[in-house]
Amino acid sequence: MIRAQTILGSAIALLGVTALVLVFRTPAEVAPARSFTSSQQCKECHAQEHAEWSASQHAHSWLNPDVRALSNDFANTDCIDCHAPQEIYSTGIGARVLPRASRRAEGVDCIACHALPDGGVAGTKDNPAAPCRPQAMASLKSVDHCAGCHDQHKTVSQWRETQYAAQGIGCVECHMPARADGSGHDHTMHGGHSLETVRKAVTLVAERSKGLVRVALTNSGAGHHFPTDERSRAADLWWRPVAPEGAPAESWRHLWRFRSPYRHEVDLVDTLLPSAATKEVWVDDPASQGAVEVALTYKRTPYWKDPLRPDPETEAEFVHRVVLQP
Amino acid sequence: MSLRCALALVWSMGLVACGSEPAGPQATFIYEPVVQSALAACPAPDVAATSAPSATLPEGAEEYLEAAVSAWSGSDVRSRELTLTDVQRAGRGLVPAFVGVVAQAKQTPERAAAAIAVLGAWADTAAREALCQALETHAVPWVRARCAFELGKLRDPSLLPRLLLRLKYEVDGETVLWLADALAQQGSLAGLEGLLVLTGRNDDAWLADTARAKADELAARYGAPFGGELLRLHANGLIPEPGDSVQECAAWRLIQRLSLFDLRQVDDARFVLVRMPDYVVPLLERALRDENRYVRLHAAQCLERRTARNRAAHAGLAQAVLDPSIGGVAAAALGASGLASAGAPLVAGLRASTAHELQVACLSGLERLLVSPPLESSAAGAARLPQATWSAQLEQLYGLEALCQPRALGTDAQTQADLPLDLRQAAAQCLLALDAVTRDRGHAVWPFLCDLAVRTDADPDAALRALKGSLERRAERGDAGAQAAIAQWQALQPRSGVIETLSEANARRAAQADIARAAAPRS
Repeated sequence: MIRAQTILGSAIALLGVTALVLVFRTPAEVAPARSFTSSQQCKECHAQEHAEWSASQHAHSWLNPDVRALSNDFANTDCIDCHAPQEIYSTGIGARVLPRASRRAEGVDCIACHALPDGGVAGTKDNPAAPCRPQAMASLKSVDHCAGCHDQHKTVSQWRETQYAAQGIGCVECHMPARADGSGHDHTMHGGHSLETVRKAVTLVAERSKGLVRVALTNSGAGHHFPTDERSRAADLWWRPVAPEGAPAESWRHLWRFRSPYRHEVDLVDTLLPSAATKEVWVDDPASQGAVEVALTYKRTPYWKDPLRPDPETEAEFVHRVVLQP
Repeated sequence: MSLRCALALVWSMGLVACGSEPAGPQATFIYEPVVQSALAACPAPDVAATSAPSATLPEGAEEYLEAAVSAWSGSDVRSRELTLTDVQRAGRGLVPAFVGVVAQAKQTPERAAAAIAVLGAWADTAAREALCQALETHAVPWVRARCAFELGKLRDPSLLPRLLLRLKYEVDGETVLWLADALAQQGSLAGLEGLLVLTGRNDDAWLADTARAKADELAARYGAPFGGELLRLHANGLIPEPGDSVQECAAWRLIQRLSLFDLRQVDDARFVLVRMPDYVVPLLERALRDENRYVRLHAAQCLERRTARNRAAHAGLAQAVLDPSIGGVAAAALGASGLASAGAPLVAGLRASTAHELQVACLSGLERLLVSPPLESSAAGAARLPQATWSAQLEQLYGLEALCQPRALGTDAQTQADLPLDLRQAAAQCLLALDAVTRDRGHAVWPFLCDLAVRTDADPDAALRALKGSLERRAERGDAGAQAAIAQWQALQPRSGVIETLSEANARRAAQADIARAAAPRS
């Protein structure tokens, strides 16, 4: 009996201490849980990140006219999985994402990347007093965080084979660099829609050798193939004689295409340029004996309006141009 | 302190510790290894040995090939039979030699054509596999067309998944024609849509005429007046496709693939499951309870894409609507069915859950259901669902107006702050859709949707689609203002093949919103 009373007394004492802790804790110590229904909720406290993200392709992944056209206005529902994904931390880091029904217009938004299943968010610091209750999560910066979507087109698999992977340089280092003022990482997430980023990825060289023109493109700056978003992206090498001053420009002549074909394009082969690799093409044409211009163009939709008469001037972006004198 | 007091203290501390996050009632879902159990009962798949092209022909092969080319170049059936007998007697070792000849189709087309015909006539496992692989990978279109033709003659139900998948990737018209024919010979109408597309080909009269003849033949077989009507009846689930349920194990293997990481493989499996005969519907319904979340969700997606052909799974979908892991997709599947019976579980889901995702999904499902035309429900397609039943269902849906409108369309700041914009948009579109079945219910939400059509934080394309749908319905009823608005609207659409820039899209959306504002329904 005495032993039972001792145990009961101890239990009550323990509970009493617990009660004191609960009663006298600082009210602001832990913010109430908050459910997220829109990335607009993040804007108030994270204005800079929200503004950067709003300018990013992630924010436009649902309403971008290119996507809507290529997905037949999302009648091709296969595209929804990555263009309006559920929270990555719910489906699992590195696991394939799943589509959501709500807030689709926000595309790949703050909630998709940061929201945690328990109501908080993944961040770079612990701050239980903040309304969104951020928790420091190393996985937020890992390549696996991006892989659920971006390895569907093999970008992360390509990266794993590069020197960047060996050096621990992941997606974030190039696509979400730290801001100069140390205030965090850039959420604009530049990629294939940024001509500046594309320019940094490759080096174009044109030179005369053995009486011919040698054109070489090196994937010198991308930690994945160039272009990486297989199927829907394409890069092309061109050359043309430089027209005499005052004469109309010569038309571009196609040299090489870098692209991974759709599976129905059974007559095409994959020509994506791996990281650090060089593709060499030779121009063997009497017209190349004079001054020539060589160019690399980039397209985010692979097809030309008239495949027999492709017009890079109006249908593609010029990444690099090199003029070679006789 | 008495024991009673101590227990009371513990109880009250427990309440304090629970904090301010009372958990709402949650249905418990028990998942099972559905796919794993089903596959355990299946025999191992019959994997045919792949016959790689053989560059060097086995001894005597050249002679057989020449004989085959000669026999299949002529029309003497007896000669072909004798040649085939000789080839078969020579043994399966010749298959790689014939595959090698098919691979050289660009260089020696006659020999390749004969080789395909021999493989088709031979028709053992290795020959079938060789034909399937050529159909799937050969770069020369006429080779694929001939392979589809030969495979169709075999009428082998085990080929159905591969023939169906080829529909997803094939771009050659003649191959599509023979694929559709091959599928039709197995009772599958999955190729009918492709046939109807081919009838419009004005660059190939033979192809268009042949496709038309085959579509007409199919329509006659199923008692439809023409191919387009047969397609409509089929899409509405009014043409039974019993298929060969012996192939259920093949279906389970496809369902298992829904769990893979590679979305393209998942897409392939979904594509085939959506087009397989009706016996896959109960299997997909069972998969809604599988232990793997990907299997559950993609099984629901397959049912969504089967539209009215998912009716046999409605009981399972109605339960799945309440499952937080797949409820949104289950709601979409019910909405896609176009069947009145889908209305009740959607309304129930909307009322039972406060989860934002599920509420939006249920509202979107209801919107889709409302704008679908009422469907015939009998298997034969003869008897219409009694109008009274449909109306009774709608009466239930009218509860939706009371449920959504005061909350969703409130203009006070508090309501706007409390309710997510996409939820209010989904509710407004659902209310507007009510005018599909009873006129002019949507005037209250019209200005709100016009505003959403130009807001960057809303889904402007969905708002515009809802407004346009309502205008079209009014135009069909003879509303001259709506007819004029639709004409203006269409003039703003980008030409076929032209992709707008973001700024062009925004300008077009703004102009179409203005048209909608000017054509607002009168209350």
